[in-house]
Amino acid sequence: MKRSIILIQNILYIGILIYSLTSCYASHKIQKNSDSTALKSKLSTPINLSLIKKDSLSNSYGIESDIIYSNMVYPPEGSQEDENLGLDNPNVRVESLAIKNSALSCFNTERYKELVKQRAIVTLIMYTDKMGIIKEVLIRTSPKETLLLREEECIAIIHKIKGLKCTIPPAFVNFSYYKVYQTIHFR
Amino acid sequence: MITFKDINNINSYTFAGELFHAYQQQEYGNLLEIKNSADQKGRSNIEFEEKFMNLSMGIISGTYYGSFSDMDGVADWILTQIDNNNGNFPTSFSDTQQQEYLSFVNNFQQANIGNGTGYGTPVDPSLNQPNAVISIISNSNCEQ
Repeated sequence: MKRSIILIQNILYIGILIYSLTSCYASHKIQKNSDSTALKSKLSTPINLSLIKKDSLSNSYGIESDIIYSNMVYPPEGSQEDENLGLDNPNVRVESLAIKNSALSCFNTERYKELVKQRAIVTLIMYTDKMGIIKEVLIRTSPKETLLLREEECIAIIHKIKGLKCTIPPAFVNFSYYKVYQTIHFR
Repeated sequence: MITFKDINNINSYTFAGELFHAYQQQEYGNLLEIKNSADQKGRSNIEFEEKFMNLSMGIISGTYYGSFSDMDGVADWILTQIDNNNGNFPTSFSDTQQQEYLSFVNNFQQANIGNGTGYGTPVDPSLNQPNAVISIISNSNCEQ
């Protein structure tokens, strides 16, 4: 009798152990599968260019997931600009050149020549944080104009320019973010 | 003659601005009369045009440019005029362009009333296009 009780107990323990092990493995497998599905879906989600802003003077295209400042009021609420301090910026030429060269590196020679032939003009609207680091880039067109650049070119430009620097002029030093334009002439 | 408040006030931005005022004097011939008149009518137009020049030069030269909130929408408007004119700054303004230009001058004047800058002085509606800017661009050999 005692033996059969011990036997039944052992069978129960082994059963519980097997159940625990299999359910633990199954849940691990489900978790692993869902992680890899999420990662796969993240990697395969295409980055699209979207029309971010539209008004009577311009259309602006950008990457939806990049939006930080462009849907906020500009000038930033609570920020005071001081016209007496002016817009002097000794770094403007060097920084502009870096931005333009980064944008132009997104075109191969053939495509560049094509845009020169069209006398294309592309304007970027860039938002910097308070340190002057570019965090968001939009590509501007006039309201009636179609986007001259291809979608993949715009996306490449946006990625290349984010992280570059625009010195904030003294008049705007206490802005929490700052907006600047950069026009690129293909000529 | 160009004058600055003091030596600390001389930099590339203020120098370009004051040099442009000297050019406006050549173009219009009455800047001092406007400044010395009782109501300074037209001074806001003169000051607005100087800011307009600054934005236009940023666009044409291809360096980045920002602006004060009293110039809100002006950069976009200049870009649209250039887009609509085969990539060149227009050498004359249509009636519609003159009206739109003047509405920006009015916004600028309104935003500066009573702040002591002189930018809030009465607008002269006869100065309805940036003649000094047009003159500089038309007389320049630089490719836009």
